[in-house]
Amino acid sequence: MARHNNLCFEKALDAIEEYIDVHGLKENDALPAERKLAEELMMSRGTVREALKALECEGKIYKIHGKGNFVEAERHSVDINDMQSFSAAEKREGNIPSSKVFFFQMMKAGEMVAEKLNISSEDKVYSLCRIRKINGKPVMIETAYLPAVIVPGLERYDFEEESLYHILERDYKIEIMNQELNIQLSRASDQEAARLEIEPGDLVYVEKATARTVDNRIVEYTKSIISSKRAKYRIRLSRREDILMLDELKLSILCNEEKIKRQEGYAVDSIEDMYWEHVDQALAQVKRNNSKICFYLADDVMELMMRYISNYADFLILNRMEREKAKMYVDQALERNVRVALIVEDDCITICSEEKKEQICIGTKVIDMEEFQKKFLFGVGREWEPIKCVRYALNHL
Amino acid sequence: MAKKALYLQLWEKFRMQILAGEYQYGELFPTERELEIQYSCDRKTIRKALNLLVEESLLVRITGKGTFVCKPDIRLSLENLKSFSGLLRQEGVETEKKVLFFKKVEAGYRVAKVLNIKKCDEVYKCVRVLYDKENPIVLETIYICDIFPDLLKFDLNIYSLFEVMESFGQFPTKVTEDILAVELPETEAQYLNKKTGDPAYLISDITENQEGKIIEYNRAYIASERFVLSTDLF
Repeated sequence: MARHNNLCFEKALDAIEEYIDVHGLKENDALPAERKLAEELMMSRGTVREALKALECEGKIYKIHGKGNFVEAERHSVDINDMQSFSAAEKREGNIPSSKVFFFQMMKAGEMVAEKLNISSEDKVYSLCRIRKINGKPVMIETAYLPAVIVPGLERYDFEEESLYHILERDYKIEIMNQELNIQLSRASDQEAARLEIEPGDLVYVEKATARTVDNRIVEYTKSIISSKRAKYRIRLSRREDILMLDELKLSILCNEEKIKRQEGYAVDSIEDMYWEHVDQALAQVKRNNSKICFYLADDVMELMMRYISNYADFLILNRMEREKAKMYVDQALERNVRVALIVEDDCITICSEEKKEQICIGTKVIDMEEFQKKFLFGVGREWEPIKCVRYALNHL
Repeated sequence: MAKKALYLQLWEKFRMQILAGEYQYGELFPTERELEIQYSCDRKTIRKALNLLVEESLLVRITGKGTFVCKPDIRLSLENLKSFSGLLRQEGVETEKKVLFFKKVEAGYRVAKVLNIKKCDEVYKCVRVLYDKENPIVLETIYICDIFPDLLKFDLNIYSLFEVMESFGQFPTKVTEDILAVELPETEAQYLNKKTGDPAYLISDITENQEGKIIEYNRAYIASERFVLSTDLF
């Protein structure tokens, strides 16, 4: 019978879950026997049995042959948004994380690891394999590979007590900018099952992660085997801020000059005023849609345009403008809505925000401004610090 | 220049074959015996090469059955706020939607808990399958809050649900997504043309609008072997 039409089945799922909540049943508590449960819920035994099977598939309950059905523990949530995740996140929720080092050695990278870390297979790597547990139950086997040359002396740390990322930041000044994650499903081998205290053949996630710094250097490759009964992934997404990049040419397209020409009875003094009136309306609409606007100006700029920058710009990029003029525009802009302004000169970029000004030397590098803008705004959209956005942009051109 | 060890050459060759799609996902890889004969080298060498592929999860050994290719061919990029059909289209997979059920129903205990409403409140329920060239790959059950005048008149075979919601001024702004790995229950397996107990992802999304109100709850079963889930987050 088509599941979506099977009201009895859906009702049974609802009723069982409500029963568990109402009676405060927790991890490892027993549910009443099938027959009794069906009586209590006033449903047919067959429907209840089907519902229990579905809950078992989902990992909400487990069955012990001969003994009955029990409530399964809530899965540990692997928080994708939080890279420091394991140690930090767990303590927050009152669960006790612990790690057991399975092995920790320096070895030759080998073909596969070398490819992931972008080094040669003869290079040395540290290989750290840990079994991560929550409240004593193993959740994942995590093997991390780091090029030995960037973390000399790593062997003196006790990784059962300390967090790797914490040590990288504090003692090696290595800050991880991003992590690229790939997840696949597989089944646990005999060995993996033994270490995770699950059955061989149980479903596991195979997670491969590559961690990079802001300079796009790969510092770590991790392969983890994660029990699917004990863990799930959680990710929180928000709509990225749409950031509109505008220069004078795009402004005119935005206003669609055709529209202006067809207007009748428009009481204004000149075509030019009418044009800018439309610019005003168009920009106001963009703001109402919750987008942000980045103005990009090269060489000189019309005085008139500054008015719009003052009212609508959130970000400003000035490229090769006469220094005094640039400073003046930036000061004006920062007094209004502009959060971050960049002054791009031949050999350096000055990053100005209300709080501070920072400079990055770029030497004689020739920058493709369109690509630079895109990469800069990429970081801005993710709410990085302005200087990080610029460094990321320069390193990914 | 030193020649690469034989097992490494074989590893590279097999790897390229698999990544190039010469073997279908789930297909039996030639046995060690067959490879021994084909490449005229000893079993130890073959096994070393295959072990590397198993380590990489390109091959999986199942006791008693053999060695299978398990390279997924579609990457689902998780960090985008998009519908499944949108995500798949990004990967070049055009899907067809088939709506199996679209009605207003009573929320019931579980759905009410998630949407933060009363269990007797009404919600829209839509059950939909996404196909890739006649193969069902996603089974979605979507529950939508009753804040829309009449959602039922929209043909969700054609329209994107997000677009319809946006046209009513509801913008999906924040999504909390849980990804579980499960064994397919009987009915869900049937819809996806799989066997009961086959592995699948169960992806549950809770969507909030621009005012922080929960407007949608989506439970999707995805046959896992074709997908790599990926994110590039900061």
